[in-house]
Amino acid sequence: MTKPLVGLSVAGLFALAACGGSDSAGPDSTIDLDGTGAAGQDPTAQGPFTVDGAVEGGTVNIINASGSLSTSFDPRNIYYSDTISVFTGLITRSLTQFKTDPETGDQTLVPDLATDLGTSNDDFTQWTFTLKDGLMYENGDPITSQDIAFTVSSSLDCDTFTDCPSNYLLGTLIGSDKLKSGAPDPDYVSGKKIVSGLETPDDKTLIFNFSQPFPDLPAYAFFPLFSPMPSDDPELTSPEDYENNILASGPYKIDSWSPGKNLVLSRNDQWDAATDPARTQYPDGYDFDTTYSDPKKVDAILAESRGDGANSLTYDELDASDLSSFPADQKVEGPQPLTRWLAPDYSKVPKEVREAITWAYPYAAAAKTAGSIVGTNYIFTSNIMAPGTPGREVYNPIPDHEPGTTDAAKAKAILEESGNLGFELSWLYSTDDPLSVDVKDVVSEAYEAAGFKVKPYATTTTQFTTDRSNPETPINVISGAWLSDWPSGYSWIPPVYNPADPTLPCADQTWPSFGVVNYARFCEDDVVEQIKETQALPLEDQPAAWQQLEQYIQETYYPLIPLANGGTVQGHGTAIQGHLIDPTGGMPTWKIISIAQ
Amino acid sequence: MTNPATEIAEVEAHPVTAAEEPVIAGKSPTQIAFERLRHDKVAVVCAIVIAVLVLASAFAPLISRLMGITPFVDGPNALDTVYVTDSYNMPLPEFGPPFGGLNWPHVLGIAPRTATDNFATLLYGMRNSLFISIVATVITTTIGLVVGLASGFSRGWLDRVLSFVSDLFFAFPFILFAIALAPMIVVKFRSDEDALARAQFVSLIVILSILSWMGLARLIRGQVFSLREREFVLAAQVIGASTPRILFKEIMPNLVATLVVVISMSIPGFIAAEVGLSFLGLGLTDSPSMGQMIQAANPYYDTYPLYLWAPVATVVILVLALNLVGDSIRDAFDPKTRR
Repeated sequence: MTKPLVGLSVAGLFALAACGGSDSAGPDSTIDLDGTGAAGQDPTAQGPFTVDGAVEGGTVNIINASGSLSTSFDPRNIYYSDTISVFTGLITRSLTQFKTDPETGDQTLVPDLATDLGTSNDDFTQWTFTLKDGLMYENGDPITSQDIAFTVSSSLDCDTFTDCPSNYLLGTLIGSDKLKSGAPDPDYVSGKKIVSGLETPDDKTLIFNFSQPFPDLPAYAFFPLFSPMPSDDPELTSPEDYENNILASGPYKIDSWSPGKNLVLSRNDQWDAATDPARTQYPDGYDFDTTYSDPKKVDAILAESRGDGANSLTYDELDASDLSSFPADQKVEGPQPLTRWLAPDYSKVPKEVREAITWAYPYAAAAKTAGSIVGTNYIFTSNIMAPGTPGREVYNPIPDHEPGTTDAAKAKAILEESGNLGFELSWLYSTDDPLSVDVKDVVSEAYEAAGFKVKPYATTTTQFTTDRSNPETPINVISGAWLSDWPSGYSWIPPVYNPADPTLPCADQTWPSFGVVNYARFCEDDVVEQIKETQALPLEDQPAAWQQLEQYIQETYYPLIPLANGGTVQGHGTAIQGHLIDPTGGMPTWKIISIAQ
Repeated sequence: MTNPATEIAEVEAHPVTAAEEPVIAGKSPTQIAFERLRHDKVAVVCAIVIAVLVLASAFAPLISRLMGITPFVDGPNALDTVYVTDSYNMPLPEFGPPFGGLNWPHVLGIAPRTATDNFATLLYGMRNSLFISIVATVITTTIGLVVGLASGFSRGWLDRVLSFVSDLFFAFPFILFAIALAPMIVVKFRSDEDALARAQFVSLIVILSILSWMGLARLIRGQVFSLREREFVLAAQVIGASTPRILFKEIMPNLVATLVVVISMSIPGFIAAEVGLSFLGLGLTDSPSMGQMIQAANPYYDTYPLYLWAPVATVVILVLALNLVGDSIRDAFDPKTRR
């Protein structure tokens, strides 16, 4: 889930966020930020799950102009929010899953293939999952714990599965070094051997052994990489072919798929609702078509809802130009676990200047110029962790700065006081993206008004991410964003604040030019130490500890300037029911969708 | 041409002043052509339209200042988008369309998102387009003329070399060239916004001109081929006139008609090309441009039609007027047409 966002330019981010709906530029929000509680767990949830008033029948058409579903379909390689959502919602079952509240869209962590959310030893280095009885693939073969162990073990080969959703297991799961990048042991890659950290004493039991505490495993275990793949058929499961032979374990199976074009799903009659506490099987099938060239055409089909249009939905953002005219009862707004921030280069931009930027940045004007809808998909924040993260409490590292407000005089005063008047700020923009160019002008003006010198640095959309990650690029303010993988501080604080190699002291860090989210190149030894300590805390203590740690980092060092949380606005035809936004990824709540007859 | 091109009959009807004594009353082909043009209603109307548009573009900064509008998101008179657009970033009704009525001074409304003035953007965009196309035309004509004359008159190796060079340029795919050059310019001038804007301007002119002089060069070469065998050229050579004299005094005047036609047709072509390239993000990106405006307005075709149709209509009117005038000039200079 991190990938598409990490890979997106700021322009791309804005484009992604180029829609929404609410009033004026104020910090008030139409999205209920507190209602996104993905915090809850229910280890005892039992199937079958039903939605009041939902009836069977009909085919749901998903129409998109974004060319999505173009990335890997191999469960060992799935790491984009669209594929994760479609697979975990409809096609594959994992050890755990999220259950949607049909009224609010709130998500609760519940068991999936496992009987509960796993049991661990006292220091969270060993997790044991027991599978339910009567689990079958679409072809009627039984699902065993060896099958899941195979998928997990095989996914550790990030040279083959380059999107690397297993990154949280690398270096933590015992034996994962057998598949480390560069020289993976071929026996492990082919699945002849399973890494030593995974034990399967019988067909129903799966044990994970970690070299360090991993209390968050149950929340991570909803990823497709924890789904079963037949471990005894190396032909079928080869990395080249499995995408085309996927064996469904969820309520729907794949009839046909062509990457980036279409995906057709039909009922999987081997799926047993009694074993599944969160999924439903109301529609006869799903028909994804991602080949629409014009987002406005998608919006028009949904708004008119004629014929098949009534059974259609999109998970693209509605086009900004259509928002005011799109029927309100067919519009779905919801949060994404996304935070955008400015990351001034930690070693080059002093703390006072970072504070001054906080006052100088034209939050509302830049968001509006970029086409974002303030309060709907651009919600000002002073936190780094997004709403819905367990333990999150609103605080403000710059106490008298109301999020989203600009005060050039105050910024200037801070600069004058600290002797930094005329400090030169430099940041990236894409010349071939008109939004990016306009935003650059707005931001330049605001910085200059606050007494900064500005030197925007031009690039092109295709080069943006490369230039942004490259430490050689002469910029000192970088736009960053993070979309959490699962709702937990574990999926926020370590990736966002850890240096490139947390095992080395800060003085010895070298910053690679790719794959680091910590664009500020922020590193403090005590923070690295505290992150390690927090990761080892008992599960129930973690939410508060992560919040406390974030607050400590932001209030003591203030490396990142929080801008806004994300949100999404999608649309559906008149007959679609149950299309809400899943706050864990900003995608539709597939598990409760049905068609009104 | 200090002589007003007048018909003989008219000359006789008026008292002749000492300053102008066109008693001979012979008329050059150019004079005849302009005479014809003056009587061509389409040409006159289009010329007036062009004059108005050119004047408006030339005085774009002045007009903008007087009206208190600007095409830039920063700088004087810029509106703050936070206060003049609604939650969907559309202009508030008091700032004109699409929800409000006509609002002086924002006669064409303001843009969604950026809240820049559409009329000002049009004026500045047209100014940039016209400037680029006129400069490109001057360069193209100069290169084409020089190469055409040289290769047409030289006979031998120079002609072969120049013909080969122009064939070489003909083989260059124009759009590919533009696509390849745009990111190179960005990388070269990335750390200085103003230099980048200037570089884009220059590169656009260069792209447009160095890839479009070949047609004119071939045309001129062909004409020179036939002219150099004509008696008056041979006579000049016989009496020992220098080559420059023959080229510029004997041959050039006979090419004026061709040149005027080519110039009048190439300006609208260049305008359309500039708008097209800027629409694709390969031309001007940080200066006001009609292509960029059309691109930005594209998704608003149903919710804010004026925003889209204003630049589209302006481009159409400008290019159409220039083309019609070009047509009329062509007809006027062609001795075979009788209108």
